[in-house]
Amino acid sequence: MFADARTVPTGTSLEADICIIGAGAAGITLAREYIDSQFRVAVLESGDFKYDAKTQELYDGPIIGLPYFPLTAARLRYFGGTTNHWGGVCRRLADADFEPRAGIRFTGWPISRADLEPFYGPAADICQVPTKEWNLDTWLRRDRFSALPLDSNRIVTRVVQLVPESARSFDKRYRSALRQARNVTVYLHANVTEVQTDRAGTSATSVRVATLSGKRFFVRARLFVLAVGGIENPRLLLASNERWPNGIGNQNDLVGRFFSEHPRFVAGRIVPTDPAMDVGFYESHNVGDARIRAYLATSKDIQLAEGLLDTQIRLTPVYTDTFTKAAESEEVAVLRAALGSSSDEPLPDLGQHLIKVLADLSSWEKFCIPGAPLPVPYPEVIEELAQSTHVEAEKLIPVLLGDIAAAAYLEYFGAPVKSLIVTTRIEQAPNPDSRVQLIAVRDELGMRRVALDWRLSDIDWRNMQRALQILGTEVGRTGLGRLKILYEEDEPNWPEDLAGGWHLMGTTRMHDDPKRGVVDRNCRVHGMSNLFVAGSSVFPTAGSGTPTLTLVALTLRLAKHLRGELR
Amino acid sequence: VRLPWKVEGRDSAKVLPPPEARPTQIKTPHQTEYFFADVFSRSVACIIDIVILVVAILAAASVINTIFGPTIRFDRIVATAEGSAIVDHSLIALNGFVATLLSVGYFVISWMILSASPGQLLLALQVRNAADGGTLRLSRAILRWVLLFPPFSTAAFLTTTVPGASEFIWASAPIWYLMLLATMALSPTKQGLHDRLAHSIVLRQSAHQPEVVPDERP
Repeated sequence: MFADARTVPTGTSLEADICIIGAGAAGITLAREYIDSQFRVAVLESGDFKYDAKTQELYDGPIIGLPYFPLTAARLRYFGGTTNHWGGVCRRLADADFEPRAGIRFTGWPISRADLEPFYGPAADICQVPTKEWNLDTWLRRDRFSALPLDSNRIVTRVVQLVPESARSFDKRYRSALRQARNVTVYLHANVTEVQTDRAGTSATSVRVATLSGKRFFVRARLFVLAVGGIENPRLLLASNERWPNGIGNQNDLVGRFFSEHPRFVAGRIVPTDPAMDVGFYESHNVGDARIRAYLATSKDIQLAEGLLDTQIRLTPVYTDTFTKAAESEEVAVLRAALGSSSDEPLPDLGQHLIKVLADLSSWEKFCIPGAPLPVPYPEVIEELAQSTHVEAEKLIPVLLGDIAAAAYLEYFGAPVKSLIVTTRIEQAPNPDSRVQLIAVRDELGMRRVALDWRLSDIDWRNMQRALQILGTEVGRTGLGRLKILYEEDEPNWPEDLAGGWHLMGTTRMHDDPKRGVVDRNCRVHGMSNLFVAGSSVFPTAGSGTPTLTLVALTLRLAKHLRGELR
Repeated sequence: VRLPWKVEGRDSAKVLPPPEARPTQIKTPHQTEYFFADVFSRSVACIIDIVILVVAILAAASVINTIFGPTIRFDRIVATAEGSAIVDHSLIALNGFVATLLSVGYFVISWMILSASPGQLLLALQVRNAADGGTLRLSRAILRWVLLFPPFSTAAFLTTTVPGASEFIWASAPIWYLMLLATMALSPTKQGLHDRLAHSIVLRQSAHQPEVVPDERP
């Protein structure tokens, strides 16, 4: 059920078995696991069911390191959390992503991929991943496109699945189930400002809750789970300093450190030898009911042999101008929106757009002889096509058949490629200097804000360069083309287009040793008996893929563990 | 349609020549029997006619191209950079006029002179006036052409300035032909809607070997 925290009288102390702080991907996943159980669950969510600027502003804080998205834009503070604008890209972490790398400190997880394996299937269901198929060969058998013929001992192709836009929001998907759950109460407008502990400081006793309307109350529980994301999880631990002056779990000054992202930027360009190069597999496309996309990466063997972290290499084809124009045309955008593949927004001026779409669909008419019993093209059209090479004929498709037909052709068969933009997205090396830290400025609820100091290291630079060198060698060796690497300096020179992947990770990292991690392998905060953290903030390293599927799997694993704790 | 000829059986649709022309006691050595032409053979004949006509129209378009220059000009650079081709609208009109003329001439003249289009001749089909078994008159032949080969492409071309009109016309073409096929298949005399409106009937002729019958006349 849902409750409005603004109606809870100040000074009230609510009781629950489990108190989950945050109703995003992790919080909702966890709460769902206890629906209809014997446990009383309280979920404390700061926002409502829709965006509210005043609530969102509680996220605000300065960026003091490398340029980053504004902290108020990098996540969403209302029911469903960041799943409300999530990109829906899903992939499991690979075995190698859990393993330490020679020469790179702080790498390696205390658990293996096998520990998460049983939870990836249910996590895929929760995230609405189209299929549970992740094997490259299976996808290639089903697909009309093929993978680039690179040596898989050096460069591999990996597949991601894209959750349909309409199925991404955890709010839309799970609000109803939580509303009907009698043992789960989701308190909206409930901002947790502090975790309180017993006198020994080893057990959480309650959380202090504040609303923007001025109400203040407490929630007591047997177990507490922080699930408010990669910046707010450490913020809440650091701000809970009644017993621990440096914050809960921060005895070793690790909370908020190791902030990690997936730094990405355009790092090169491939000029293909053959414009008819088949790169459709590397663009978003449908295979049966699933929408997938592939990318290149350094192989596990190369990574372990050379002590490299994972590097994702995205290929973005630049098609000939007519196809580019067609794919970006208004008619195609309208049709995509109408078919529901790109937007849930209502269509503006449908009538006008419909006329444009119809006009575009009949582009071919002007190339056919009127009066013939069938659409018969003029001899010069036939001659033009007969004299064209395959690539030249393909270039004429947008001219002869219109933008929509060209976009459809592009989607299903690909098109002549002028070049391929190479975007790298690297697995950031664990870096204690990359951190979230409290600042003196307080928010409207009196809680100290945080500053984000995102930093990258020489390791990240070298990692990116080495991955591109390997790719360049492979592209040349196989005769696919030439790779122009944009950044060949030895010293890091992070480009202006450097950005993150909107992935906030590592700030309450997992390690069995309290001196190297904030939480243990079961996501329990070191030194605390009943305080846990859910979400990607516990990732010690993160591969180069998207974190959502893994954080949901990890949350399911945590849910199983907590059942044992409660018994 | 009321046929003046004797029809033997509804399903077999066997048609004999008119009573006054039918021999009473002695079969001629080259007697011809007529049947209602089935949908399949008529469709095949139609496809043959369309192929011949398309070749003729393309040949005419080539001649126009040679005399007046191309209707569509492709500049490879322009085509690939801007997605456009240069179109000569007056030549489009000329091509359309010639193609329509060829289509009318091909069918109407052959129906009136040969009682069959070339495709129908190949399959031994004949188009007759349903009322008297004679050849089609000009007005009926033109009406039949309009109904059977409604100039979708011409109509679509003429309505390109009206948003959605040409698409509607093209979309209605398959529906129209399905309707003609359905009415043909369901008719006991295999007369589609176009036949009924143009008062025409399509027959398949079948020549039999002479049957020797003794002449018993005194």
